[in-house]
Amino acid sequence: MKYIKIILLIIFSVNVANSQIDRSKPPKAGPAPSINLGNPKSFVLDNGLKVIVVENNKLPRAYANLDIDNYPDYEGELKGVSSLLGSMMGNGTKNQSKDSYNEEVDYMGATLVLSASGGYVSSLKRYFPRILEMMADGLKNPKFTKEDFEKEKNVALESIKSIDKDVQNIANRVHSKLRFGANHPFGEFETNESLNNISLKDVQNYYKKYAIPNNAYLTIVGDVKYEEIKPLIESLFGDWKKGKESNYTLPQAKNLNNIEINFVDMSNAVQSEIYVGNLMDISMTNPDFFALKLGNQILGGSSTARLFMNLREDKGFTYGSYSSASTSRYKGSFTATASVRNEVTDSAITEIIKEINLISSEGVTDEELDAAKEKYVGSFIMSTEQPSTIANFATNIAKFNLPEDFYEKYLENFQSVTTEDVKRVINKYLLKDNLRVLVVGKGQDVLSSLEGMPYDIKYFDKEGNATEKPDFSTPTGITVESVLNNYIDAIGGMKKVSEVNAVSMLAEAEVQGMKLQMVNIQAKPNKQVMMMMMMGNTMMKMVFDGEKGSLSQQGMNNPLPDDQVQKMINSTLPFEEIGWLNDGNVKFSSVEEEDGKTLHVLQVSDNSFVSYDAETGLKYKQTELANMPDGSKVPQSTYFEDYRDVNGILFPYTVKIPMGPQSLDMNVINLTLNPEVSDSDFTVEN
Amino acid sequence: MIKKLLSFIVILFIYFDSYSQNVDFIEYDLDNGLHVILHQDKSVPLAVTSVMYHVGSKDDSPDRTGFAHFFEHLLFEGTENIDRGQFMKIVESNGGSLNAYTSNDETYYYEFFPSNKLELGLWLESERMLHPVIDEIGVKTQNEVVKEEKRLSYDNRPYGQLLPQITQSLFTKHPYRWLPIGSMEHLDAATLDEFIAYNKKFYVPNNAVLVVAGNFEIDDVKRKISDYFGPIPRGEDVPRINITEDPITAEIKKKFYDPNIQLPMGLVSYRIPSFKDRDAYVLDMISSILSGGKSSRLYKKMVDDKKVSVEVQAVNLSFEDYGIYVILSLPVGENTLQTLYDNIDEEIEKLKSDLISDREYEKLQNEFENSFISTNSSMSGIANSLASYYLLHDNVNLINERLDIYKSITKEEIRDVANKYLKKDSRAIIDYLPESAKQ
Repeated sequence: MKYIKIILLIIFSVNVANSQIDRSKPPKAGPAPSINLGNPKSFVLDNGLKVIVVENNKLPRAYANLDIDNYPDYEGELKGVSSLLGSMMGNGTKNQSKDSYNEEVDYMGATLVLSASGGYVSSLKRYFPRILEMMADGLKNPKFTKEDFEKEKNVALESIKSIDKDVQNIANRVHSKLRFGANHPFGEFETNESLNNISLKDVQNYYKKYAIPNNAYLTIVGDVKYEEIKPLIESLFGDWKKGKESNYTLPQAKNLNNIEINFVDMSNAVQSEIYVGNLMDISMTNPDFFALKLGNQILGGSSTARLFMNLREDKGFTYGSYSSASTSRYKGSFTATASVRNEVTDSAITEIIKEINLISSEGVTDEELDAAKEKYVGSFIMSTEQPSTIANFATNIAKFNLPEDFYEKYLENFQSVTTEDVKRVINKYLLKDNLRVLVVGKGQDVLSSLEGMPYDIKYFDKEGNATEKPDFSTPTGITVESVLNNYIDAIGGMKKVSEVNAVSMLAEAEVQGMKLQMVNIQAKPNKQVMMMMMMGNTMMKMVFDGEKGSLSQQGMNNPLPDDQVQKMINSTLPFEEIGWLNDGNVKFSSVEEEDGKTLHVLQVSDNSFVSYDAETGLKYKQTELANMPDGSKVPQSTYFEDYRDVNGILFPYTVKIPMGPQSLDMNVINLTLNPEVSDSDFTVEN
Repeated sequence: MIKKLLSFIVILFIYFDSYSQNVDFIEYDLDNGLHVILHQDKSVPLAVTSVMYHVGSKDDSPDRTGFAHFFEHLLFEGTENIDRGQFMKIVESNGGSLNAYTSNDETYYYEFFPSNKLELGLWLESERMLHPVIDEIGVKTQNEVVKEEKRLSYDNRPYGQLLPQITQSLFTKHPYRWLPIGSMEHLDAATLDEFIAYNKKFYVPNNAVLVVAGNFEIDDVKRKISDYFGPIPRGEDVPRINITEDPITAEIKKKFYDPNIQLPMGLVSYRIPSFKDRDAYVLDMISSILSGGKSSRLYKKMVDDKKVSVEVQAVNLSFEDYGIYVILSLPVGENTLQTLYDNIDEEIEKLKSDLISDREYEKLQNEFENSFISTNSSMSGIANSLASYYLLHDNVNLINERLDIYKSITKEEIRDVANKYLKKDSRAIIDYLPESAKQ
């Protein structure tokens, strides 16, 4: 080893002496390259369609991108109609059946996508005229059937349902609504109500009104000849009828006068979603564009930026914290975001605001600016390899009224930004004293610390409507004891319950067509055995003999982990609630609403919550928080339903475990009170 | 008659219109044996620097499997001039990106930079080849990383044992019987000296090809390459394995139980020749006929029409010495694996007896032309192709000729190759079952 190293060292030093290179540090970069994008040619059809052609014969294929650039539209009580229309387009036309249309695209090895705001096609050069023809046909003569409409509407309704408890999704839509206002196209979102308002006729009307060429851009990139493609486009798109443009004007969206916290309470949130930011008036034509992009890159543009380094690397608050500076013709915005653990919600907000203040007052260093330029310039250059990027550039120049050489000078403009520019621009657009701070999280856990911050707090519901401050105080008369006693009374009373020495149960579930069986025997004081079987084979067996336990899976026996054993030693089976009555660690957690029921929630251990129906007293669900490898926590709930009387005591006959969109339903087949059990039933496997 | 004439014209038209653009390249050797391929393309200001080493899991010794893959990780640890953990940071802060992979036959590293930073890529790769730091800390760190990768990608992943089950059925002597990830016990047992020796044996200029593709001046890049890579000492000649498998003469039947799955899977696998063999190209086309897209034969029959299968795929995995051809499918509901095998057999028999239709043949031509062009549409794709065509296929110009090979394949050849390789008595049928189905 040493020998090799010495030889290498000798070679190394010879190398340095003989050549110009110094390999002890990274070589310096050459001058920034400029980009040769080629010269787009363009023409305008009588109906307003602007066509941009970029001849690029590097490969024998071509690509067309259609951008119907209408002025933003407020859909109001029909919100969702544009996305429904989008999902119904490109599925056959009045001239070609759906099957034939789709098969032909496959045959050519081509791609075709259409929506209400445009579309794209790509294919080999020789099929390009045909795929363009199919695009035009799909655009001008779409076929809307009742069947497709119902199908797509149901998909949309399902997806709204599925996000009802999704904290990130709710945070996102409430944030847009608060920022822009409910009467603004950028602030509205689909609801059950708005989707149900939509009829097939509305979709057809929307198509007629908005799928128009007036402000549309068709960009063609690839192995085409301008002289050939121009007459083709004229014949395919020339009869696309011009429409009437709406005279709608965007309402004004305003920034806040002071920093303000907007809070949405979601009792199922295991972490807080934080958005900090403000609106800004800056578009790509503004010379400040470059300095602003770089400033944001340094603040929060990547996993090496300040926000990430502070909140994640240094403090460990979060799985990521980033910021964005979006420029727009209509309204731009600056947003810093983080998803953080409940207990550090206030500290995370403090740190984000601190970083915004710091970059405003101190600016950025030369090193930071250089690295940001490199990263920005590098990824920009890489993106130019794809023809889609080149198409976007060409459209942007036309659409946003950019100078013809905007993208040629792009890199140069980035390179010439100074640290002074960044500081000035940050102060101009990041309104450190007018930030809106949106927090969506579990109020019970985070609100008291937010109240300690020097900002006003306003409360909103999941739809972004103003609401009262949620009341987390324990309702009078409700205690851990009362909840547990209510439960015991509800299932049959302490006397009956204490006469039960053991319970055995057989339950069944169906998983992908296969039957899963579960046998569970629980006996006083804390013994239990549980087996899961599938097609007659034991998949899992867990035994606890009162002191120790084992878990067998796939022929492997493992002792139960210590924390599990500790929990089980202290539990009182078959009814855990009896033990919780005397357990000082069980706490009253919250009053929650779910599915129209009021729930009293007890926290029975660090990661375990049990909810009881306030009206019936019965156990409604149990929620465990699972620790994920990335440090986040994921809740998994088990629901108890269909309580039935067994010798005077109520037991749930259905236990539901939701798994994604489906749920695993265990149905009790047989439940016996005080079966004959002996210690040998609880023999721990070694 | 007119119809015939028309189709003749169409064929002519397709022929003259087909892809004829060449990917130009220059190749030469340095004195230390490093082969260099340059592909100049000034249309975008980018440059890829890549090095492919002719070492893969087939070069692992049977009691030290996983070495080649382990080195892919280990050689990111740092060099005498690049501190531990800095490799990635240097690339990122310079606006670049990097990646690497290890297969059964080769190990590939590449960096992608704006063209003004091309020299940085040369420096990084030459550092890695000249004097990587191989020490206990690095070995230990990467040992953990590789174990985590194995847990994620194989042990805990549903159907994670699928590939090893196939390779162990089809190969008994050849190192293709194990996967690149190898055995964790072997890696744990390896000493630092063994790692150093492996590096000295395989990661030498005479066992590698350097490809630089993108926007540069040829003289300038040649000089820089000689500055950075010239001083790296030549290694000893690299030994090649030469192991021939005996033919499979009777159908192999196996069952395997995976604790991570619910739905069983049926696997029909065949041993096929090296990717250098023309027949391997024909088998690529057969895969496409059977399962490429929703109008393909197996998909349309088993998934769309009969609804006996959730998914069916014919996959051609080609390597330097042999290849694997596998048709995998998952049953719907109560359908048995036998039903799936019967349906698959029916379609294979059809391929063996009848020629494919004109429309299918044309569709194949379109698909392969499309995918061929896509491969050559990115600089990184071109660099990777150049490297492997030189190092593994012994024909760099395949980058231009590959489509011609596909286009020259006839309907008759497709039928003949199906007869030659997709034989019942030389295949392995593996019932890949959920643990719960164990009796």
